[in-house]
Amino acid sequence: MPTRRPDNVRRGSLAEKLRERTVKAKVTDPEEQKKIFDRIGLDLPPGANTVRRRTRY
Amino acid sequence: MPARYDRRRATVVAFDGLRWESPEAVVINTSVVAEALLRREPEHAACDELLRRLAHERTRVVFNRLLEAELWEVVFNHALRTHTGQPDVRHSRFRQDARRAAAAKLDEAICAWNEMLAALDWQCVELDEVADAVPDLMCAYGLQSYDAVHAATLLRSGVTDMVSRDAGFAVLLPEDATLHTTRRRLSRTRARRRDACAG
Repeated sequence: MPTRRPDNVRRGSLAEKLRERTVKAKVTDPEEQKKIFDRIGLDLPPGANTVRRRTRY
Repeated sequence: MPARYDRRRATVVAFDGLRWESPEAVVINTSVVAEALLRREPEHAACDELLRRLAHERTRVVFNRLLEAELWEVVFNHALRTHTGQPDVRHSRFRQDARRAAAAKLDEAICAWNEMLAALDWQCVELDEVADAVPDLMCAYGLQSYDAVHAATLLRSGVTDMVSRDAGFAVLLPEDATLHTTRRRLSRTRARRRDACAG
């Protein structure tokens, strides 16, 4: 099972600041989400996913 | 349940496996997002399905701003290669016609990423918020600076689950990072973790 640290975020800490900045999904309807994922995507030839010149994931 | 519990194995799991459960929050890196956006990449289906699940299950998706820059690099370079037919982009990026073609693809990628974000509960960590931790992570684990940025994002945000197709993150301690990768990369990633723990 995935592990998770205990929820012990201090007030005013960086972790608290980061949590406040979470952006909630604007599209929460599952059907609308499905439409987004069906729509997006790029048709580049295979072999595109290479970030660094010598590194292929 | 295996006869003998092995923490090193248990902390590397396959997100395209049948029994995978989405954590409450994950740190995601470029390798997965790029694969999800690029329809003709070999692990596109698995990464696309993962992001659909993260959206559906309202998992908090944390990423570093660096992810976006790396994503643009993937798309821009490949569009340059496609346009010029040259595998090396060092020279073609200075050709105006190639840049124009690449810019069109980049616009498409930016729109797609923004649409994807609209469906996710997300949190972006800025590079300057974790940059001070990068040298320590490079020294402690031998991570490349870019990877150290993603690792620092994980450690700083208090999340312990990282979604990545890069086995290099297996060097992080099992208690700090549960790695979620594809079934195809599971053995390699577990082997890296085993070696890292043994060393």
